Amino acid sequence: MNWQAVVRRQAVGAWRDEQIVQAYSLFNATVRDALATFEQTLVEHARLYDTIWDPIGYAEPRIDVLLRKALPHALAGFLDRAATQLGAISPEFEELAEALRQSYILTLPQATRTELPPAPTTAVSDIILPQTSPHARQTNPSDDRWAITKGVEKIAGSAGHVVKRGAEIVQKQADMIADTLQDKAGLRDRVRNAAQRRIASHWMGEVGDPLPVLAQLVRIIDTTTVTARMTTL
Amino acid sequence: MIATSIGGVFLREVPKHLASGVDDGTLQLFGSVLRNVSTGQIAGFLQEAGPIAKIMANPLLGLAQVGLETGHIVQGELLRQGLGRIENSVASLTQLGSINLALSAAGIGVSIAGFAVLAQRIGRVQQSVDSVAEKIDLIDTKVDQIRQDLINVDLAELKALARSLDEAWSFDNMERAERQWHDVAKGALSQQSRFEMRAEHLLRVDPNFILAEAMSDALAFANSLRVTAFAACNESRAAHEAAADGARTIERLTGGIGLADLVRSSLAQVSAELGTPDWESALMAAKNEAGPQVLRMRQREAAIATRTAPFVSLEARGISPRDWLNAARTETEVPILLLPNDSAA
Repeated sequence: MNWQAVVRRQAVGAWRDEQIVQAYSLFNATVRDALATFEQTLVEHARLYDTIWDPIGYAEPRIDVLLRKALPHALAGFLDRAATQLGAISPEFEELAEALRQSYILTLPQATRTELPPAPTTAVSDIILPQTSPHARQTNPSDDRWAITKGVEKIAGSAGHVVKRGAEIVQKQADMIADTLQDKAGLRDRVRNAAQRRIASHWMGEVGDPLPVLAQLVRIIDTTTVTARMTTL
Repeated sequence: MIATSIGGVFLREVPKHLASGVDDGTLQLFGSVLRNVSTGQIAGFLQEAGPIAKIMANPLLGLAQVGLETGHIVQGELLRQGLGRIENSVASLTQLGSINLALSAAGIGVSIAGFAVLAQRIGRVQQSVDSVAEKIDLIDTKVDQIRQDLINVDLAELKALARSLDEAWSFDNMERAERQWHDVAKGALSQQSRFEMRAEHLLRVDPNFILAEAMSDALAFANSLRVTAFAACNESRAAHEAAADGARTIERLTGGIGLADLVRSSLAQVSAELGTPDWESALMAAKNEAGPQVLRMRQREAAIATRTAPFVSLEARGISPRDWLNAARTETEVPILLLPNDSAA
């Protein structure tokens, strides 16, 4: 029994352990940052339509975009460091380390609905201002209904004068109402849950088809480990 | 001080230059081999000796799984008992990071330290089996090879083999002794295979690998009996082969299991959401929890792989395996002897 080879195999095993745990940590930190950005967007921009009818359609493309933006650079650095550490175990692993550094392939998920039109700032942005009815002008001035209509027009006219300031107030109130509704009814949680499910199934999960990105990375580390251990036999 | 019984090749204390090498991380213990981390050069070999029985009999070490603080507990206890010399040796062992290995079922070097030690060791395996017996019954009551009663019978058989091994040292007729040692080697091979089968089965059904630990310990113990029996017969090549067989077996079983696998298994039970500080905390907790278990697996593999490593060095000095074993058995002062590797000087 060549116990020196056992030393190297254990070192490779320790390398694998270190890389996988670090990969978990790296993904968790990246996802945490992405979720923080996602949360901000959710609170500021998500419409009632998104939270009620299409939480998945809202969450998935945004999560994918955020992680596609953050992960590639982090993963390149991670694999570069991993390769350096593998090569440092023994010169016999240098070639394998170089292959790890140069030729890894990771497929990043991209939700099919990738167009992200800028969301309106509020769900009630199309405010219809009161207008003077043309029909009212044709009514008989002696008609009591005219006076009422006239009164309404007057009020409407007043509203027209303050429309600019009024619209702002209405907007704020609408935002508050939408916020309250979305929070109290747990509508935003639907989107948050959709984001979590996307992360679990496509980014940080163990299994899936296509294979989640973290599982792809672990597979690369495992394959490298098995190959390195085989060279010591 | 130098042990004189086999020509003054063993040391009873770790020389200062080796101790400082361990301190600064230049030297590291792999199984029973003290090696230079960067060059791989061997600085020396450790071999358990008779007085290790005093350490193993310590009631404070009744746990099957010895913890990281074991060395300090043993040191303090031995100091209270006035066993200063052994206490100093334990200090050296602790410094070398070898105390857990010395107390484990695999042992350090070739298991030669008499039936008292072997019985203690098998007792630890039994405790380990008992502690997981309930779980074993739960996971698969229909599979005969992991039934608790059959395991107990096989552990009793291992104990009997250990007694036979020790008994043969007292024979006046060396031919009879050698026959008995050969019988022990044969019986131990059978037991090794049975515990290998159990370990293999449990590794398949238990994602936490805890249940297979006791079986791996028993396997390591059976293998140590084989190696010792052949070495006692001065059958160096057979001893090497037996050690290599044990090393291959244990590495096949647990060599591919790492901290990452245990962490992954723990995380599968975690309810914390991904991308949160809670999940990161769960990751770190799983890592810390898995550390000692993985360390035990690696130490077991290393112990078996290096069991006969000093044979070449000993034979080059004209020392037969039997003389070497006998010297370690009859040692009275220190629990671990150090054989410096002169070629590295």
